[in-house]
Order: sequence, then structure tokens, then C-alpha cells
Amino acid sequence: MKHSFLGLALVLAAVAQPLSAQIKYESYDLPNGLHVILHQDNSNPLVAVSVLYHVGSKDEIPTRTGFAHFFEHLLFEGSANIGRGEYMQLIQSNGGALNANTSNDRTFYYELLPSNQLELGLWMEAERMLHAKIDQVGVDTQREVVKEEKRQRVDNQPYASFLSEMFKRAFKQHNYRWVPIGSMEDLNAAKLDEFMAFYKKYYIPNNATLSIAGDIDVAQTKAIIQKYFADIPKGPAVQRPSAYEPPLGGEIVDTIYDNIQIPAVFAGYRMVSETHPDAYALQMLTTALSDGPSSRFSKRMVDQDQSALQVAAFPFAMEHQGVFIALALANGAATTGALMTTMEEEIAKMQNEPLSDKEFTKLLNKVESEFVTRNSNVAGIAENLANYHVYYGDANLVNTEIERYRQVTPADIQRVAKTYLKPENRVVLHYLPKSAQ
Amino acid sequence: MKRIFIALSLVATVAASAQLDRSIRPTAAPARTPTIAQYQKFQLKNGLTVLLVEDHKLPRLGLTLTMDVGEVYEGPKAGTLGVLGDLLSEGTKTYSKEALDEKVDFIGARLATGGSNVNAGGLSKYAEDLFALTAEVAQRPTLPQSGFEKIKERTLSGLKSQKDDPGAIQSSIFNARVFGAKHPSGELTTETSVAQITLADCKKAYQTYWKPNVATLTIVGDIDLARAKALAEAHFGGWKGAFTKKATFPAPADLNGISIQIANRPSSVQSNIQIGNTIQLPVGHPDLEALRVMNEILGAGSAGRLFRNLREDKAYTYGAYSSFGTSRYTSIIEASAEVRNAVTDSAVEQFLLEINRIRTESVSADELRAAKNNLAGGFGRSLERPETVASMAGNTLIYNLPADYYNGYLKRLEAVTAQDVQRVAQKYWKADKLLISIVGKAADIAKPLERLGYSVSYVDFEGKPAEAPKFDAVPAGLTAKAVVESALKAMGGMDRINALKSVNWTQEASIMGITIKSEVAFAAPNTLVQKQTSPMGANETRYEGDNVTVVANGKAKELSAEEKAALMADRFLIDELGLLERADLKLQASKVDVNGVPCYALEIPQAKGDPIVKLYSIATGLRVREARTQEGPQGKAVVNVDYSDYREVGGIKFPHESKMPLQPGMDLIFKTTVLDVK
Repeated sequence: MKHSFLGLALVLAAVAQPLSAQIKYESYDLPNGLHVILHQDNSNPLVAVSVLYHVGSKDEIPTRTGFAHFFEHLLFEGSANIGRGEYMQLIQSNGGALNANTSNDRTFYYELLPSNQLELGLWMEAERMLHAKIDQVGVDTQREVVKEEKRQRVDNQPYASFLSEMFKRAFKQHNYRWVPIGSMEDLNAAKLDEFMAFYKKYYIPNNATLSIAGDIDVAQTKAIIQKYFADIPKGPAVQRPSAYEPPLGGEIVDTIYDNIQIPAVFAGYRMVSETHPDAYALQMLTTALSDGPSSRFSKRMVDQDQSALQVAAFPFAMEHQGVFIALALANGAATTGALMTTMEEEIAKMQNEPLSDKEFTKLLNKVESEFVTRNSNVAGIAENLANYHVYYGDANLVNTEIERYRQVTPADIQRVAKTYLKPENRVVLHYLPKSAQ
Repeated sequence: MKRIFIALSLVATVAASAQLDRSIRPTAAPARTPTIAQYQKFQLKNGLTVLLVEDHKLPRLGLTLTMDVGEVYEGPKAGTLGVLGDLLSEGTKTYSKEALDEKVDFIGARLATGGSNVNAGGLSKYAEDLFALTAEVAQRPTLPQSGFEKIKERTLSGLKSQKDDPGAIQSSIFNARVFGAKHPSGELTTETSVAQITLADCKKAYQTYWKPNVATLTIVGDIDLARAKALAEAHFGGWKGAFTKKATFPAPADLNGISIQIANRPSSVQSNIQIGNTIQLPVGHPDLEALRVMNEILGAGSAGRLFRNLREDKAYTYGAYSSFGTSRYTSIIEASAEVRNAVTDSAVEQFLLEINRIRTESVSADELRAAKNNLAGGFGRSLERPETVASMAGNTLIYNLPADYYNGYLKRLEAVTAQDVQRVAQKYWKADKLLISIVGKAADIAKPLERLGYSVSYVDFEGKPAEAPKFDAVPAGLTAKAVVESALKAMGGMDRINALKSVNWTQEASIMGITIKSEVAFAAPNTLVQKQTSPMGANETRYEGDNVTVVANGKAKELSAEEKAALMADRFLIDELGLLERADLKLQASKVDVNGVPCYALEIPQAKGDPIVKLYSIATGLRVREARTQEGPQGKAVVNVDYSDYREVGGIKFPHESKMPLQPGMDLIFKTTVLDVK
């Protein structure tokens, strides 16, 4: 009785603590549909300019996997007013940094500039949106570059194929069955006119979010945005792929022989999308399982049994669906089968016994600590604001999402463990050295 | 009325936008100079130095405790400090390992220990705990035997996994070569060296190095000076002892000429290339800014010449870069990329060309301007992180820099000239003493690299000299079974093979006016009749389930149990189906060339005599030859049957021609005349 009272006090203490300063922002739509988010922070003479296009690998057709990411590369090739190879040069020779990335759901471009170069960044993003240069030279060059990227990041890296191996088994219908890097075959097949069509279809203001954070004057920034973006024509509404995927309908177990020496096991449980209320409980469940040395997997497998060199669990939550991934690398002579059995035992405990107040408070503290760090620089703030707007329809979650975690109860965590972490709902991949084949 | 107004405003918008000439590039607004946050410094009586960077933007706090132990050479017990680093987290006098982990996780913090440092971070409301935990692991670790054994095993597993990572291999072999294995920066932690480390070694290292007089505590975040002082004093004030005997090592000698070293990694689909040499360049050196500009132009990022040449122009790689280190001791200058196997030699040539170009040609004014702007921008961006200010404070201390050293950075940068850039390029890129180090698939890359004309040597993954690999070796990990499976797959796959109902296959050979006919009839599930007809007679072998009968010239032949068993091995329409069941197959270690086709060779042991060897094309997976050793009048002779002209019939690939030499210049060639597959 006394114990649980103490626990409650701890929980309340955690809730009552104020968090960091609110991130204030302003947002609006241009008539052409471009969504604009502005956050002013004048502490450093820096500004982050970003554009999120709501197009990712899930928008690809099955015979052109890797297309959205390939396309991202093309959009550094230049525009009507920017010569080939000049795009990166222009930003960097003016003291800025730039990059982009493509996920299953979106493509994100950003520049981090000295704040006096804000207009340069906006002009260049408008160039990219209005009349990017997409030609055969660029396609041929970037095709080889992307293939090198795939070799470097996936084919030549131990275990790096696990995501594509996992997703092609976890999804039968949904376009999440392939991953953003795509296949060599499809990369080879992609043609110039297809890129032109893709550009017209997805790179339109009404499919984009312009998010700016840093040392700006809001009124002035709005005027520059008006100048460069207002007359970019609106495009037809974007058709989204189906979000539906039938239940897995039974466990899938497979063995992958890789260029590795240390066996590993990867278990992927089908779960909900990132915006589903259960996503928060699932996130806290992974924290309980593998975040920190006292987490359940780490304590049991790395420390006590010493069967694992490394363990991890993370929810790979996407816009339509998700996969809860648990993995372990074998230590010494442990087999992947034994590692899987131990992970299952620990998962069963989460399903059958409620979390203690103390452990639950620990999870809240960890979530809070992570939440505070999330907005530590202007580039991160610009990206978070854009993501929250696009996926959740509420950029203010940058300030309030922590409340959603605080609404999760120990019973919720137990419930999601039972609901999602079932054998019939998972794909298990045993990664073994090629020499064991 | 309202409508007209809207229309008018539309016209106005169009008119306004029509005036926007997008070819006009925006000009910069007046720049704001970034300001460097202040730091504070104080010292405890025991010699511990404290650096504080206050940053109240977010409610968080980071602590770093670093021992300045100088260069440490561990020799045969390399890795001792690494093991000690992990061991420090295995419990303290106050907290068991479990309690320590619990405590750290409970406040949502992180705590990491290394051989000469501790890193802790979390929410600033837990400042007291963060100080206490850092002090505990630094001053009162228990260094238990049980934890030691555990860490040792984990370290060994970790070393094993590093051998899967071409980047980790490259870093090892590059340093081993340019610094030499007898230098602190060149020695490697290996499975052998870790095996020799004892708990006593770790304890000794702890007692030697972990002393307050060489310790710096860096505090960054949401805390004020008074509280930082109070917490530092409370938790570190009682720490005693001193470390004074820092070892010094002479700078390693330069390489004798340009040389290539290759670590052969047969599974590589890309070559990991690193090119460079050692340099002496402490922070505060007058060449530093010029070298930064040089590196910016050559290859610091995507605006660099290396990136533009090797990626944007030639598409050899996802990225090519250069970098250099600063150190009180010796560091390196290097350029690197991961490129596909086929262009490895070309990529090396381009690297050398660019290194040479920046040494021999003056950079353009535009490049110089852009590089300075880029560096100044990077400097401004880095100041967003309070940790940058902390590292500047640390450098000021270590390198004994003037207090305003970093305030003068942008000015010094601006003063760099094209002549400076060329001068430092020549001074630091030792173009005639470069190491070209490559982790990659020697079979694909060695010959082209040899053509570059530099000496080529081989090293293992620990940088030790290795034999030049034999390129005809079959890939490590390839098994006999895999070769059989790939042959079956190449023929059409098990699904199709299993679905066969019947096959009638006739092959005929003519030689010196004689026709020899071979007929094979298969009926599912397991009836196979082989018939050979020639003017000399006919014989027939019939398999039905477990039974085999032979009829020669119309007469049934008596078969001994031994003969039956030998024949039964051939009861399959497709030989490989039989091979699948055998566990005694042997894959020869080297590839074999059959009429210009590289092949894998499988040995199939026989009850009597030499094994039969079947050869499979590496490219197609199909069987191209079968070699049997026969006892003849002149001793053993090898009889080869070559299979060719594979054509698909009924979904399965059959060789439509089989060739067998009778005597020199005379082959018996069987051609398929009938092939009926159901």
C-alpha cells in the first residue's frame, strides 16, 4: 500500500515538472496550397529552410522501386536558372549546408544558412519546385551514384539488408513491401520521361510544406515567400496509395546468409501506424525492453545470460503501417534460436505482469529526457514542425506530444504487448554467416 | 462588383509575378557575426580543472571527464584501456552494476565510460545525480572479476564483428601502416592481444591514469557557476593522487615512395579506398587555416573537387572526401571513398590527380572565396551547439592558446591566400610518400591496380603482411551443396523438375559411318530406362523404384549387390538430384577453366577408384563437363564428357550436345534428335 503510494508520488512529480520553453510558430497556406510554417529564434545568426514533399517509396509503382529516392538525387542537378552542379556549390559557397533524405513516406530537402542568406535558400527551393532541370545526363550520372549508395550502405554492410528482407515478408500488398533504396534492376530501368511525370505529379505546392526556423523576421520572410512561391501553379490533387494490408496471418521464419561472422536474429511484429494512439504505448514498450542498460533485454541478455553482444527494439512506425522490430546479435556461442526464445520470454513477462510504478516512472523520465533533446537546433525544429503537420495535421505536437505519452498507462503497455507482439503477427529472420550455409 | 474586384486583384498578382525575373539571384542581407559564448574555468585543489559553458536554452546538462594521459602504447596487451573503460561501468563501491544501471536509467540519463573518460548527460533537474554518478565511476569503481570476464568475451565478439565492416578494417590497416605497429596510434587491439589482458592489467591502468591532476571536467548546459563549483567540489574535491610520467613517442617515419596495400575481402562489392600520410599539426599552428581552406577546396564536402570529380562527374562513388587531423602528437591527412570494384584503379588515379593538382596549380579566386565562405558558415553553424564552445575551451587549455584564439578565427581565415593554399598542400600532402590502402575484392581489383606502376603488397585485416591471394580460389563460404543447388536452379528449378511426368530423349552420334544411339525414357515418379544401340549391339538399364535390371544384347545380366549399389547411384534423370542427397561431395578449392569457361569443380567419391569430377560454369551454374578416371592399357586416363548447347524444353534446360574424345583429333559428338518432355 505504502509502496504504490510512493510510486504515484513519483509519477506526479514527473508530470508536474515544467518542460523546455514553448516553440512558437506561425503557419498558413498560400492559395496554391503550399503550407508554410515559420519559427523565429534569433539566438544564433542561422536559419534552416526546408521543404517536405509528401512523396516517398510507398508512392512508387512496384516495377520502379527506389524511384522517389533516385528522384531526390536528380533535384540537386540544377534548374532553369541554376547550372548543373551549381546547386550544392551555391549554398556552400555562401556559407550554408544542405542535404536531403527520402523515407517510405516523404522526401525532405533542407538548407542551413547564415541568416542573411535566407532569400537565397528560398529562391533555390522555389527553383526546385517550379522548374528543376531533369535531363538524361543527370539521370545517367545519378543512377550510378545511387547504385553506389546502395552498395555502400546496404550491399557492402553487414546486416544492412535486414530492413528490405523484413519488409518484403511483412507486407504482401502495401507498398511498404519494398524499401526506399529500391532494387538495382528497377534503378536501371528508370527512364527520363518517367521522372518528368513524377515531377509533375508530386513536386507541386499543394503537396509540399515549407518549414523555416531560426534567425528570421516573420513579416519579411512572408514577403520573400510570397515573392518566390505565390505564382508556382497548383497541381492536381495527389492520389495516395492504399493504406490497407491484411493481417500477416501466421508466423514467417527465414534464414538469410550474409557476409557476417556474428549471427543475429531480427523479429518484426506488424503494428499500427505512427499516428495511431497505440503508437505511444508501443514506443514506451520498446523503451522498457531495450533502452538503457537496465532495460529488460539488455539486463537479461547482455548482462546476466551474456548471450547477446547487442540488443535493440524499436517501433518502425510509418504513415500507414508499422513494424515493431526486436533484434539481438549473438555473443560467444549463443544461437539465434536461443536468442529469440529469450526475447520471447521477456516479451511474455511484459504481457503477463504489469509494470511496477518505479519502472513505469523510469519510462516516463526517459521519454521526457528524449523529448527535451529533440528540439535542440533550428534544423531539427524545422523538420519536426513539418513532420507533425504532414502526418498528424498538428504542428503544435512539437510542444504537446509529451502529453500523449503521459496519458499512457501501465495497462496500455501490457495491452499493446499482448495485442501486437504475437508469434502469428511476426517475421523472424535468422542472419547467419555465409560460411554456415 | 465583388467578382470584378477579385478579378482585378488576380490581374495584379499576375502582373506582379510577371515582373519577377527568377534568373536574378538574391543578394545577401547584411551579415550578423556569430558570437562565441563565454566559458568559465576553475581548478580544484587536487589539480582537477573544470570548464563550464552555461547554456540555459534547454533544461539539460552534460558532463565530460577526461584524463589527459598522453600517448599510451599497450604493446602485447593492446586493448587494456578499452576493457577498463567498459569495466568502470560494472559497479562502484556505492552501487552494484545493477543499481548503477537502474539509477542512470531511472532519471532518463546516459552514462558512458571509456578508458580515459566518462560521459554523462540528462535533464538539468538531476544535476546532483549526474555529478554523483560521474564521480562514482571515476573514483570508486570496483573493477570486479566477473564483469571483467564478461567484457573480455564481449570485446572478442566485437572484434569479430569489426571484421565484417570494411570501414573498420580500413581504419585498422591504414593506421597500422602509416604509424607502424610499434606506435600508439598504429597498434591494434586484436583477438590475440585481448586474450592476454588480465584484471590486474586493468587495475594497474586505472591506478596509473585516473588521477585528478590530469583530469578535466567539462560541464555544458543549464547550470550556473556557483552551483557548478559547489557540485564539483562536493563530488571531486576529495579525489587524490597524481599521474606524472607521460610517455613520448617519436613521430613515425614517412613511407618510402608511393605504395599500395590491399586487404583482400572477397565478398566486397565496393573497394574502400584511403590515401594519405602522417602530419604534425597542433591546434594553434599558423598553417591551420590555410590547410582548412586547402582541404575545403580539395574534398571536405560535396563542394569539393573530389566529390565533384569522382561522384558528380564520373559517378564512381556515393561520396569522395578528404580530411586531416590536428594533434599535439602525430595525425593524418587522407582522402577516401567507397567505389565499385570495376573502377577502383581509375578512382585511385583521380585521387592522385586531384592531390597533385592542388599541390601544383594555384586555386582560383572563386574557389578561394567559396571555401572561405563555406568554412565561415560551418564555424557559425557549429556555434549553435554549446559543446563546440566547450571543445574550444578544452583546446585552449591543451594547446595553451591565447584566450582570444577562436575570436580571431574568421580574421585569420579571411587572410589566407591562394599561395598559402598551395604552400600547405605541398607541405602536408607528401605526394611521393603516400599510402594507398584498399579493402576490397583482390580478384577484381588487383590486376588493374598493378598497372598503375606502384608497389603492391597484401595485408590481413590486422595490417600484418599477407600472401598475395590466388585469384582462382573459390569464394570463401561456398559449399558443394550450393553448387549443386545452383545447377538445379539453372536447369529450371526444383518445382519444374519435380513436376516432370515423362521425358523421352534420344541422342545420336556418328563416327566413321557408324551411328550410336542413346535413348533415355523417364516416367514419374521413378522409372528410368537407358538404352544404347550401336551396330555392335544394344544394352538397356532399367530402374524402377529400388530395383535395377540390366539387359545386354537381349540377355538379362546377373548383378551382384555391389554392382547394383553402384548402378543405383545413377538412377536419376538429372544427376544432380542424386548429388543433393550426398554429404560426401567435395568442392575443389580452386576454380577450373573448361574451354575458357571458369568453373567450380565438384568431386564425387566412388566406391572404387578415383572420384568423378563434375564441373559447373560459374556464370550459368550449368554442368559443362564430367570427368571420369578410367583404368586403361596405359594406366589411368581421364575421360571428359563436355555438355553444351543447353536449350529449354518443357521448362527445363537440357544439353543438346555431349562431346567425348575418342582419340586425339577424334571426338564422339552426341546430338539430340528427339526430346519430348511432359
